[in-house]
Amino acid sequence: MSGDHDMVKLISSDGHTIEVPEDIVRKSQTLQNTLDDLAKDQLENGIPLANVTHAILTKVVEWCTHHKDDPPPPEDDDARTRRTDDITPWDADFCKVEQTVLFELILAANYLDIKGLLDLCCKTVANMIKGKSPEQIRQTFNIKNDFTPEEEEQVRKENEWCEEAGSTGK
Amino acid sequence: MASGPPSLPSPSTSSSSTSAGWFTPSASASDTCDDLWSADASAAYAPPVASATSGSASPTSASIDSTSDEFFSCCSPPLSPVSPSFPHHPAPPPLMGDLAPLPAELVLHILRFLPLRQRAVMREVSRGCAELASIPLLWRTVRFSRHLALSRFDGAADLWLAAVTRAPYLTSALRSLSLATCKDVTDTGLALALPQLPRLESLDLSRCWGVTDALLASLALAPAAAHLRSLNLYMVYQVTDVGITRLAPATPRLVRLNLYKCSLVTDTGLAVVAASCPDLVELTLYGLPHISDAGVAGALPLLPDLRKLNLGSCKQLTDAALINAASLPALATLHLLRCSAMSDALLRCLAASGTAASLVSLNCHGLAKLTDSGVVVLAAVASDLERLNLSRCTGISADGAIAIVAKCRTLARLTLDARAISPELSVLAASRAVELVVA
Repeated sequence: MSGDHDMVKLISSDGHTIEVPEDIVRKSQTLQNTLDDLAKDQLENGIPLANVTHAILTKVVEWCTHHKDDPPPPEDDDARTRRTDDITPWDADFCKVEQTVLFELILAANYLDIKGLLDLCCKTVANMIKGKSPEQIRQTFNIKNDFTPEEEEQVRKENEWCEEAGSTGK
Repeated sequence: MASGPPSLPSPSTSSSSTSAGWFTPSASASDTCDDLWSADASAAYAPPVASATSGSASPTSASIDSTSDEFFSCCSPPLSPVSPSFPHHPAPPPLMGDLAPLPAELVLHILRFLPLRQRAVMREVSRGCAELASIPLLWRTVRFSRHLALSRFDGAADLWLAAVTRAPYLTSALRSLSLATCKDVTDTGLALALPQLPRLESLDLSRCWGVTDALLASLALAPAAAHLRSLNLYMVYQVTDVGITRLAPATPRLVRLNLYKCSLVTDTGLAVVAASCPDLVELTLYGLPHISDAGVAGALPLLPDLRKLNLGSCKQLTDAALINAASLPALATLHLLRCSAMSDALLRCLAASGTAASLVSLNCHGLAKLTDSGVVVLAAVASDLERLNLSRCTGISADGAIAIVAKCRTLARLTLDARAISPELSVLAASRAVELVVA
């Protein structure tokens, strides 16, 4: 226990225990529910996180610590396309990791239900897609083009309505 | 798993990319909110704890709403409703390359951050991407106005609509279509597209100056008419009673109707709307010179759910038009600007009838007959009133404004002419956190 904050023990899937201030832990809706549902003595041994490795958990805690005073993120508005150009420099730096780590962060943020972190990582991936051609997207994510020529023609035809000015459409 | 008593179960996400295929419905699919994706993350991605306690293994049978149906119908193979051209390909899961570790719901969350055009590009990447990027949740809302300037259909809206109808993944999903300021769209172009848009609930034709009664007649016959909820005909000048009379009986679920400056519409059209669309919540009749007191007085009692009513610049209207507003228990927003024949008698009636009690916003701009006493009577009983506009109300004095602020505890914003703002009013307003706006 620290002076100012209660500390919560989190156990990563690879068996490491880290102690995190409770107010940081509460950035995770999942863990907040756990804390609220369980008595103090039940928490003494720590909370095991079945699917978050130590490396990823450390990153998550780093993000939550930096953002601990943020207001709760706004509700999503279905009607408008969400912005991806509002990433702060700190967050952008935070996301400069290998693609696999970024995906693990997305899985962890989803599992732990940390909306701000989930959206940040998803925006980062979206920005890796934006402005790219189908071929460039395939290269970015190692996706194989498994269309038959007929299917490819068909998807193109179905996309004519949103082709850019100047495209031939054929 | 460690021995500690509180243990979090494995997340459902870990299995959905490997077990029964890519689109294994997870806990999120049982979410009953109307839009899976507009819900916050805690609802859309039900955390594993919640799903475990409610026995998430079987997706709910009872509580699946139409959204979930839609989700399933296009998620689970075969994918026929969305892209009938592709044969069903069983396991292994669609080739998503490095994205494969992410469950479908999270890839979808990423796609939701992309503009529509880029979502469409994703459909051209691979079969797996096409399947995922064709999910209706991604294609519910299209605004042509913003899109038009960049599109190769600039200046050819009808051709664009024809191209839309060649995209089944879009037409089967589209719920909200905005063609606002699309001046070259015609009745014909729209009439050809409407039968292909069965799910349409909201149609915005603001400033579509090529649209006439003929389009309203086509819309009345379209599959979407029966569940159309919002129709915006803002400044669609050519619309007349003939079109409205054809359309309204076919759109019984209409909630929002904007006839701003559809100046050919008269009491006849209004009567049919009121009789046919009892669920109306928002009605804009701004700038309709042929609407009379009798027309409004006859229509309003048929619309008990009305929350927003705009009668601005309906020059014929007098106090008599709204004596029946007494029967509008839900009315929250009332715009009367430039209905210059209206007087204190109307405000006294609103106060006496109880309608004033539900008002949140009242716009009286340009009602020169209003005096301090009438507005104060209303302010005293308007227990929810937050916004009041008294600009160009030459009968309102500085003392009157002070009395209004003093009486109305909920007021947050008061719009006045500069001459009605005194130092005492400024002090009082500041102490009550009322924002004074100088017109």
